[in-house]
Amino acid sequence: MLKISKKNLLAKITNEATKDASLALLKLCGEKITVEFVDVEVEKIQKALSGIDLESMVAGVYLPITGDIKGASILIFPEKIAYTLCDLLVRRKPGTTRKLTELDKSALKEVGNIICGSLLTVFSNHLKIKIIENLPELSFDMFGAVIDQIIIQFVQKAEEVLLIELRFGFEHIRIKGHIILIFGHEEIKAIIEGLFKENEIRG
Amino acid sequence: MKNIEVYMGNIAVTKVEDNLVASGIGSCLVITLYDPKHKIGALAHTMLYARRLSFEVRSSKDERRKTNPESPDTKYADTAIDEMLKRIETLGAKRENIEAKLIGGANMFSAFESDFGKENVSRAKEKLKKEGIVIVGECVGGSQGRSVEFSVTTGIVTVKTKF
Repeated sequence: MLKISKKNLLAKITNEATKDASLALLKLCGEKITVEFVDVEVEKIQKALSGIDLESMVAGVYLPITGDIKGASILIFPEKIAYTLCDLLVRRKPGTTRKLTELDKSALKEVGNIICGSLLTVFSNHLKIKIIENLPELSFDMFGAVIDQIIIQFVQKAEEVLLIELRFGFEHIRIKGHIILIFGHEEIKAIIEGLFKENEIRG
Repeated sequence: MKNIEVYMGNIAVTKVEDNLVASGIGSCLVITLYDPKHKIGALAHTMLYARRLSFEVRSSKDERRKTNPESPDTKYADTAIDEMLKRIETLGAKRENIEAKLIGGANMFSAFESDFGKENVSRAKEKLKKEGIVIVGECVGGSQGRSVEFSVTTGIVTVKTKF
C-alpha cells in the first residue's frame, strides 16, 4: 500500500502523462478523447486484479519494456472502449464495430503505445533513465486469459505491480480502463523512491 | 448445488454436488481429476509446471510455507497433482478409477520467449502418466481464453470460449 504522499506524487505524474496522451489521441482520431487519472496503487498482482470480472471481454495491449529497467506495461481496455475507439480510429459510424479486424487491432496497439508511452516518457524524464518500449502486442479475449500469461511471466520476478486506473471519456460515455506496470519488486521501489526524491529536490 | 470458483494457483476438492469453476484461463492449465464410481472430484488452476523453475518466487504464501513446510504450493502442476491425489484419496477415491482432463495452456501473446502454456501441458501429462492417471479428455493450446465448469455430480467438464 502506498503512503498518501507517494500516491499524490504518482497521481500528479500520471496526470501529466494523461494530458499528453489525450492530446496525442486528439491528433490521431480528430475527436476529443479524454484520458483521466482515477487512482494509483502498488499491490500484489493477484490482489490488484481481483476486482475485475475474469470473464469480461477486454483488449489487452502488452508492451515489453527494456533499457535501464526491464518489465512490461499492459493497457487493458474494456470491450466497449475498444469498439468505440475503433469506430473513431477507423472512421466507422459510431456503435458499428462488433468484431476486431486486423486494422482495428493495429489501431488499438497504437493507442496503447500512445497512452503507455506518455506515462513511460514522464517516468523516464523524471528519473533521467532510459526506458525503451518494444513492439506492442494485442490480445482480445476474457480478462483472466489476457492477463494470466503476463502474471506467469512476471510472478517469477515480481510480486507487486503498479496499477493505474484511468477513465476514458468520449462524447457521451465515460468508461474505466487500467494500465498495469510490472517491474521487479526492487525496480518498483526504485522508481517510486526515485520519483519522490527528485520531487523533493525540485521543491 | 453451488459453484466454487477456483482462482489462479489454487485447488478445490469435493465429493458433494458442487460445480468447480475456473474462469478466464489463458496459458494457465486447469487439471481435473475425477473418480466416477465414488463421484469425487478435484480441480487445480495451475500457473507453472514445476517449483524448480521459479525458485525466485517469494509470495506471502511462500512465507507461510516456510513456517509450515507441509503446505504444498498448488500453483505448480506437479505439486498440485500430488495434493489433489492425496486429498481425493483421503475422501475415498481409488487411484485405479481416477480420470484426468486438461484445459487451457494457450499462448495469448506470441512475443513471450517461453510458451508456458505448451510446457505446462506436456509436463502435466508426464506427471499424470507417472502417477498412473489416464487422461480422458483435453482442450488445450491455441491462442484463445477458456472458462471451465466441472460438475462433480456427472463428471462432465464444460469448456466455454468467447469466440
